[in-house]
Amino acid sequence: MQDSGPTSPIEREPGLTSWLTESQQGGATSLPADLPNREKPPRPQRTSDPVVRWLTLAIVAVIVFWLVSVLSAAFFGLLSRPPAPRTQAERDLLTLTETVQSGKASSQTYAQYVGVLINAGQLSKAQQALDGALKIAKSDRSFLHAQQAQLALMRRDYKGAVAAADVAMAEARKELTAFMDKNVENNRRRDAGAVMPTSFADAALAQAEALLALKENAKALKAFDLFIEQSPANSDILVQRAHTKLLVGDKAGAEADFRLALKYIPDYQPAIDGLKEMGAAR
Amino acid sequence: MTDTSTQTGEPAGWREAERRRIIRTRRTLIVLLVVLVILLLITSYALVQIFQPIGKVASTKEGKGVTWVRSIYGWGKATDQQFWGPQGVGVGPDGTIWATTQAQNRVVGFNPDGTFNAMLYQGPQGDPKYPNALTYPVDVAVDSAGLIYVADQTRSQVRVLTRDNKLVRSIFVPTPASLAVSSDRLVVGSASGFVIMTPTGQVIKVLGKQGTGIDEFQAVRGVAIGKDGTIFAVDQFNNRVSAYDSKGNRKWIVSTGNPGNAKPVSSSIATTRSKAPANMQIPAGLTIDGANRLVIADPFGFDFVVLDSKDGRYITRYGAPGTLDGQFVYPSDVSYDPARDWFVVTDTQNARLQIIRLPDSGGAGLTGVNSALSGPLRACVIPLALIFLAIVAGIIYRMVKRRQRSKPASPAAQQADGRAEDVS
Repeated sequence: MQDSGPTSPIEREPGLTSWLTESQQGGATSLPADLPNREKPPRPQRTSDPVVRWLTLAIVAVIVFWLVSVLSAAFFGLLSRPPAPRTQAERDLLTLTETVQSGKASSQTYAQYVGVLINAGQLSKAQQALDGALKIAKSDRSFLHAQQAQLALMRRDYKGAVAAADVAMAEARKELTAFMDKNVENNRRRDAGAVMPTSFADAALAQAEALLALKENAKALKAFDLFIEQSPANSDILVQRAHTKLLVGDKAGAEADFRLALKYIPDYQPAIDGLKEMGAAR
Repeated sequence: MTDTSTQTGEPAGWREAERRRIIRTRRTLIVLLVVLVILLLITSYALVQIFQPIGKVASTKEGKGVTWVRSIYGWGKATDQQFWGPQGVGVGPDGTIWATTQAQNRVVGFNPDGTFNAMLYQGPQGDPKYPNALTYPVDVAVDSAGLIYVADQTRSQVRVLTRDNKLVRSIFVPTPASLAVSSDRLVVGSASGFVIMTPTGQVIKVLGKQGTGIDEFQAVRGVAIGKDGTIFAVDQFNNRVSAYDSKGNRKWIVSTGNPGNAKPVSSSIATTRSKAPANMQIPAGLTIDGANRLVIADPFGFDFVVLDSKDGRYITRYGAPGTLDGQFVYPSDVSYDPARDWFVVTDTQNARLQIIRLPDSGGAGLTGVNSALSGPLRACVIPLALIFLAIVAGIIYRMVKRRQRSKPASPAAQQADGRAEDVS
């Protein structure tokens, strides 16, 4: 038979009630000394729950691991980048940034700088540099537009790349005409030293790649033709044009391009592979 | 009054409160753990971004078998601290990389992780105030004591320097083009042959004269000394490699391609194909790897040819032309680091040193660990050691616990337990 006295330890022990109230209010947590062990309530600050124990352990481990990783990297001097460049891109970036910051960079240097930024994957910075350069550039603007095409290509903005390449090629033609006009002004032969700026071929190539991505193979072929006109001995692009010709069903043209590539670089494996794929003898 | 206590004397209200508290704690801890793991991942990503160099690097396929480790472009950030066209390279016993940059008339030392170590610069060329200035250092080698031997071509001297830039001695050799040093030999290649000396400069034997016949040479551009003392010499313009014993007796000689100066190079380098299996354009610096193979740089072939050091038999070639890191334009010299199983190459036209790995180079034992510790991975050593220690501590703790559980209680303890039961 249960007695009618207090049924819980709190009710049995008045000191415990005040302790519990205090602990709930964030106050003192010491237990009354005379409370029997068996009647002590579970301590709020500790738990016997294994999940909580393991989670606490995992948190401590992650914190320690995190601290040790950072401190270890700092200890081995890895938190600061080494002062010297470590790759071609870093070296180019270093030297070209210096030139660009000096304010003496030509459009071509700006274009190189943008090219390095594109290769380094810093596309936003490349766009910023390009916009800045286009505002101030008075000559050789075709190089900047060619890089704009390249940048659009990297951003998978294929239509933008095609448009920028068109602008670049038009600018390059204008620059060539201006050069020849100057020759005439200076009483020189009109075509003396006149060559199409390399930006023309760069833009044509970017355009060809963009058109291929847009599955406009016939137009891509024309863009490759423009490139090959400027750089007829480029085996790499000859092979690319050959593959494009295969896409539009021009097998004879493709074979001719593969063979032409082999003329410039004998044993050029991509050309040999191309001939093999189409079943033509080497 | 109803009984709200349990058999153990704990009230049901408490159990419920405790259960809720535990659930709350679990949730809080899970959230905290997730946040911390995310923080750890972000930190790791940031660290990788710091370690990861900018730019594309040639894959092993693009590099035709070459695995790029790192490149060294200079010894500082300023433009005039970049290499103009490094020529000779030697790796010291401690892994320090020494490279000559003749146009900048100096030798620069780097740690295996690519950071600057030391500069051997004796002053500007042509200034009488600096009589010891290096004028055209073309090759460098390091002995077991760490002394640095520099072939100064226009001065016709081999300069021996300490790593703190102090000149120990100068040894006269006419127009030295290459050198190698071992514990008891110094071999210096020249335009018309090579000389075998003691490291202090006492001549043991002079081999060869200018010409195209056997034991005649046209620019010994690379020399190396094997573990057994065999001396290997690359005759650049006769396009052949030969081996001699430590006294200068020839062991074998092989052709590695058309003599570069006997056949004009046409518009396409491929038309100068030779019958020699190596088919090199102009062989240059060489080294011996851990598998005892000769690895020879071919500047005009843009690659490296591997020969068997026993007989000069052609084994294979690695490397591709290009400007990407991991490709080469006129690689002039190569030196092997046996402790890290990697090669250091002077990629002259790309104005850089490259540390690369080649397949089957014979690295064994701790070379992998050594090379890993020479890179950013060394930052992982302490955290990994900590994880290892934590795992070991956990295993030991569990073992001790298990042993304690399985251990029978002592008679005294049993007696005490009995008494306790009686009391209850």
